[in-house]
Amino acid sequence: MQDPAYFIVSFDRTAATMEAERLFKARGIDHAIMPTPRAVQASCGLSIRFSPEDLEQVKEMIGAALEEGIFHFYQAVKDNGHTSFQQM
Amino acid sequence: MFIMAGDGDARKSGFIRMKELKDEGRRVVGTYCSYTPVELIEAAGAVQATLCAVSQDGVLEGEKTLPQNLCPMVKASYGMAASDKCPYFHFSDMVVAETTCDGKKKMLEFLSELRPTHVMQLPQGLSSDEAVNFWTNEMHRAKDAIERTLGVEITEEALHEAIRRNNEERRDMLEIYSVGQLEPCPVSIREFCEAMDGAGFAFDKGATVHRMAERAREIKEEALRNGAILTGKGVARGKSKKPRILITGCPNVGVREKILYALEDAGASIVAFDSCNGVKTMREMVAEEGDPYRAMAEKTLKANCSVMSPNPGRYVSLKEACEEFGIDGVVEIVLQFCHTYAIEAVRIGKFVREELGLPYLELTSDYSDSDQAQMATRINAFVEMML
Ligand code: SF4
Ligand code: SF4
Repeated sequence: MQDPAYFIVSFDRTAATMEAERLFKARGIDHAIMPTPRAVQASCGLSIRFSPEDLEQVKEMIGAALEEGIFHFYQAVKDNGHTSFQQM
Repeated sequence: MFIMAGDGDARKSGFIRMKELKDEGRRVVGTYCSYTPVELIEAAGAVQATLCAVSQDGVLEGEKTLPQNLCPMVKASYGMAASDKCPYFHFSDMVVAETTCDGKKKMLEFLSELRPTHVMQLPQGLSSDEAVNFWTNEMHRAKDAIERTLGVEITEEALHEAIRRNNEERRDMLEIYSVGQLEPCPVSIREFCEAMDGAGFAFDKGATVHRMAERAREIKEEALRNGAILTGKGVARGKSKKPRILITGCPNVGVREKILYALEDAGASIVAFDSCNGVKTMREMVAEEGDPYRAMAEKTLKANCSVMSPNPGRYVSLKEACEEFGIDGVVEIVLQFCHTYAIEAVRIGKFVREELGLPYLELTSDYSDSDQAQMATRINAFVEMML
């Protein structure tokens, strides 16, 4: 059984990433902007990373603010030092 | 072994640094081409971001608006901008671009709907002094546009400093490229491309490039101690360990895997670029004396790009590069639907075969994976012939 290392949310548009970052800040949720991993295709180049314990809150926050279909959640799974991303 | 600890995805970590700079209030100017006077942007206190897009994703986005029969660079650059998938474009306060080829200049009309876009009118040929005069005037117009759009002043002093610094960077780049003169060449194309990405997207670019140049010097000394030879005009030597290839033609970042890496996998060694990411744009400095605007105009006009007609400088620069880097074969990359390079390739091919006496391969390709097998077949046949 692998533990989820962290979650990321990627966006189809950079403007959406910036809007989401603003929301994370406003709510005081721990996060970091990171380059979208290579394995996560067809998104803009920036994603936001956050911790597993904030998942429900982040989903609700993003879902309420941004239009359906332009954001995608992934779970980062670390296995033998290698990180893979599974879409949720 | 080469040069720096990049994370292999420099373009993407560049996004983060770009965002940080934006958050600090720096202005960003997006550019596409070797004709852009980067010194003006630096003197304006702004950060320059290269917006040329290299992905098939971008092409598909571009084709939603633009006709399909356009070069992938044009389609992808517009596609990434219009779909807001490219953070560099997103953070750009303005774009400075040139009327190079037809596809690009018409695409800029669409781009200007998304961002303030200053279009510099590029002369079509260089046969008279009027071209330099005209282009010098375009430098002044670009200065005014940058000042107006960003609300800054570009002082003579800042411009001189930017010219001096960029020349220094060009000299460092030449030092880095000169590693390719070694036979055998100790740096693989993959290492080289990663190192170049690391430099291109670093924000202390000058310092990064300078460190790389120092490392390049060490690599050269070490290789020479171990029996390598430094190629050059008239330097006698035996058969190359691996066929030494020069890349010319269109911008090649979008076809790295399919062509550049495939050439090395087939047993060749890419040692020189005579394209916009190579020695040709670094050799010429901007004169540090006299009128800086005319100096920037004179320098940039020596890009030897196929959009100029005629384009005699390209033959001279190609010949020099082949001698300097001890080239065994020339590979020309033509992006699909790039008319100027495709047409020029006919004469360049003849020149390389007949005047330089070297094998020549022209590869027309795009950013998709669909012709991967076909490329590999042609590349393998070409390299085998030289073994
Ligand atoms: S190939 Fe020509 S148009 Fe393209 S970047 Fe170079 S100078 Fe500009
Ligand atoms: S590769 Fe050719 S068609 Fe494409 S932007 Fe450059 S000059 Fe224009």
